[in-house]
Amino acid sequence: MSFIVLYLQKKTVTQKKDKRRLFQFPWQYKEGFVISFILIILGLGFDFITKKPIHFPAFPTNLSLVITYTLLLIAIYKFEKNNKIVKWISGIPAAITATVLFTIVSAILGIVPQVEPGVILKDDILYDLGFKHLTTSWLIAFTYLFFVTSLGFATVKALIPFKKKKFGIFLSHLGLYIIFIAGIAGSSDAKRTYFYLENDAEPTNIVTDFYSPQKYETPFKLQLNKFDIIEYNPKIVLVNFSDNELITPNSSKHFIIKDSLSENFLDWTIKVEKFIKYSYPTDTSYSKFEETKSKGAIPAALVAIYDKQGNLINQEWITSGNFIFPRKNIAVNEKYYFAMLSPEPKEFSSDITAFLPDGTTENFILKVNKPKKLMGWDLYQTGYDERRGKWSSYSIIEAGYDPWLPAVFTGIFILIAGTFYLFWLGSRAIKEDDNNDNN
Amino acid sequence: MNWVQFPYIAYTAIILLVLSFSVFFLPISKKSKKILANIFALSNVAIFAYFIISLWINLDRPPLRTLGETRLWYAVFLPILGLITFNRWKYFWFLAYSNLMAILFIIINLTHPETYNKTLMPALQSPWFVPHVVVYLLSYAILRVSWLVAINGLLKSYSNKKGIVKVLSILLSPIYFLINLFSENDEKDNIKKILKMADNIVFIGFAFLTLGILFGALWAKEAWGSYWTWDPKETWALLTFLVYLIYIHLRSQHKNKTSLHLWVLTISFAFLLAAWFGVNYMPSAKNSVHTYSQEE
Ligand code: HEM
Repeated sequence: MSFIVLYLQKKTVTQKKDKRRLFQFPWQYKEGFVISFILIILGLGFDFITKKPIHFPAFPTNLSLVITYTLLLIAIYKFEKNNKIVKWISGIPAAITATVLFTIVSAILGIVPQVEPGVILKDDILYDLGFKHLTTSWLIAFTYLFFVTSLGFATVKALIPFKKKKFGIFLSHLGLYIIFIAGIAGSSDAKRTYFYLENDAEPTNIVTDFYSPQKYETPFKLQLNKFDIIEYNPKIVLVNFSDNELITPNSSKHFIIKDSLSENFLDWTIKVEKFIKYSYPTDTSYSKFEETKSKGAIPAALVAIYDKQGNLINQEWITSGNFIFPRKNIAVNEKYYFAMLSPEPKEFSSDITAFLPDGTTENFILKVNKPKKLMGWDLYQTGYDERRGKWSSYSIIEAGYDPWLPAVFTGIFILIAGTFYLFWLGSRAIKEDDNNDNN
Repeated sequence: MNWVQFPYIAYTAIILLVLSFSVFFLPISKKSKKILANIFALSNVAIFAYFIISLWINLDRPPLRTLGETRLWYAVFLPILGLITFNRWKYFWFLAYSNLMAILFIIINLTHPETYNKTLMPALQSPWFVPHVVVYLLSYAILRVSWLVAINGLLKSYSNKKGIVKVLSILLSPIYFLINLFSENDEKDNIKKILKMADNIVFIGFAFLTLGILFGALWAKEAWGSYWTWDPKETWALLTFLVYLIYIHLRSQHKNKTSLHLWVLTISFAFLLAAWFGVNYMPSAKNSVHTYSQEE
C-alpha cells in the first residue's frame, strides 16, 4: 500500500511541480493519507484510554442516527456540491485512501486472532489497542466513518444528475452502502442466543446469550420431542498396528459399507457378509448381533478376509462401538487389522413443539441449513451431545433475532445487480480516456 | 454414471475443447469461426454437466467434497466463462486460455483417478454451497487471467530492458504466447489496449468475487445464524475485494499512469493468493469454520 502512496506522491511532485502545501485546496491523496493517519492515531488512543469494547447504540437511536446521517449526506451534496471539502470527499482520492485504510485495518483483523465477544483481557497491549477486539474498537469505528462517508457521497454523486450509464455504478455503491449501514447499525439490535432443550423436559422460553451468561425470555416456549441423526453407513479401514497409519483401499480412498460389498486392501480382500446398521451384541464376546431400534445401538458387520489366492484368513463381527459398547476390530496378521470407523452424520434434526402466546401450538422439524422463522426469531439446529451422537439426550437450538436483516439482504441484492451491470459494461463502466488527471 | 465412465467423457471433452479454439486458424469467416467455437464449447458443457448430474444422483450429494470433484466443475464453468467473455469481447485467446485450463483439470483427474467418498457433513449440505464454491473458483480463475494480462503489459512496457525482465518473460511465456497468438492487429502492443483488456476481465472477476462473498454470507446466515462473523477466510475475501476495488477506482482516473495500474493489478493478485492459500497459516485461523477444507 505504501508503494501507492510513494508513487503517487513522487508523481505529483515531479510531474506537476506541485508546490501545494498540505491541506491547501484542492485536496488530493496526501490529505487522504494524512486524515487516515490521524484517524488511526485517534482510534488507537481512544482504545488505549478506554480499554474496552464499544457498541453502536441500540434501537431506536441507531435508526434515527442512520436516517439523519443519510439525509445529511444527501442534503450536503445537494446544496454544497461545490464546497471544496465536499468535492474532495465525494471524489476518487478520498475513496481510494478510505479503502486503503479499511484494507489495512481489516488486514490486522485477518492476521491477529480475535478474542470471543464479551471476553476482556487485562494487561494485554494488543487488546488495549483494540487489535484483539477489532470489530468493537474505536479504530474500526473511525475507519468505517471515513469509508462509509466516502461511499455515501459517491452513491449520491452517481445518482445526481441521473445518467443511464451511471446506474450500475449507483446500484453497486448503494448496495454496499446499505449493507454497511444496516450491518453496523443492526449489530446492536441483533441477538444471538441458544436454547438448551433436553429430551422430555418441560417447554421453556429461556435462552442464553451466545457470548455471555446472560439470559433472555422469548415470547414462545419450545419443547424437544425427539432428537435424531441420520447417519451414513460406516467406513472400513485397514490399519497398521505399529503406528496406527490408515491404509487406503486399492481402488479408491474410502470403503463405505453397503450390503455384501467387498474391497481390496494391499494383498487382501475384505468381504462384508452381513451388516446391521443399528444392533445390540447378544453377548460380551460379540459373537452375535441383533437388530434393534433401542437407545445406544451400534453398527456391526460380519466380515471375512481373504488372501490373494482366495483363502479365508479370518471371519468375525466388527463394530465401531460407542459410548456404551467398546469397539471391536478384526486382525489380518500381526501387522495389520481392519477397523470400522464411527458413522458420520448425514443430517441431524430436532422434532420440536412450539407453544405460542396465543395458546396455539406448532410442530416442526429443525435441521441444519433448514432454519425456522417464529415470531421474528430464527431458529437453527446447531448442536447435540457429540459423545452420544444419535443417542444424544439434548439438542442445542440457536435462536437469532435480527430486525435489520431485511435491510442487509436488500443491500446484498442491489449490490449483486450492480456488479453484474458493471460486468456487462466492462471497461466502458469507467470514463473514457482523458488527460484530466487531477479531478 | 460414476468415475468408472469418466475417461470416455474426458477424452470427448478434451477433443471438443481443443476444436473450439482451434477454429481460429481455419480460413473461414469470423462469423463462422464464432459459431463453430460456440457449438464445440457448448457440447463440452452439455456432456460434462450430464456427467456431474448423474454423479450427483449416484453419490446422493453434490460432488463438491474432494479436489477431484471440484475439478469437474471447473471443466464446466471455465468454458462457459470463456464463451461469455469471447462472445462479449471477441478475445479468442481468453477462450483458448479457459479451455486449456479446463483441459488441464480434466487431465489431472485422468491421471489421479478420483477418490470415491459419499459422506458430506451436514453444514455443507446447503443449496448455497455449490454456487458459493463454484463462483469463488471462477473469480479466482478469472482474476488470475487479469494478473497474467497485467504481467504481459508490464513485460511490454519494460521490454526494452534486459536482465530480470528477460528471465520473467521466458517464465511467463505461455500466456504471452497465447495472447499474441490469438490476438488480432494492434491489440497486443498498445499498453492502453492491454489495460482495457485487463479492465474487462477484472470487472467479470470482481463480479464473481462479490457474488462469492455474498453467497457465502447468505449461506452462513442459513447454516450458522449469522451472515458475517469475521472468520479469517471471510476477512481475507473482503481484503481481496477491497484491493480490487482500489484498482477499479484508480482506473477511473489517472488514465495515463498505466504502469502504476499494471503494478497495482499485479500486487492485488498477491492478496487473492493469500486469501486462497495463506489463510490456513495465519495465526487468526485457529477457530475458522472453514477448516473442513484441510480435511482432504
Ligand atoms: C462494489 C463496490 C464498488 C464498485 C463496483 C464500484 C465501482 C465504481 C466505478 C466503476 C466507478 C467509476 C465511475 C466513473 O468513472 O464514472 C466508481 C466511482 C467512484 N466510486 Fe466506486 N465502486 C464500489 C465501491 C466504492 C466504495 C466502497 C467507495 C468509497 C469508499 C467508492 C467511491 C467511489 C467514488 C468517490 C467514485 C467517483 C465518483 C465520481 O467521481 O463520479 N466506490 N466506482
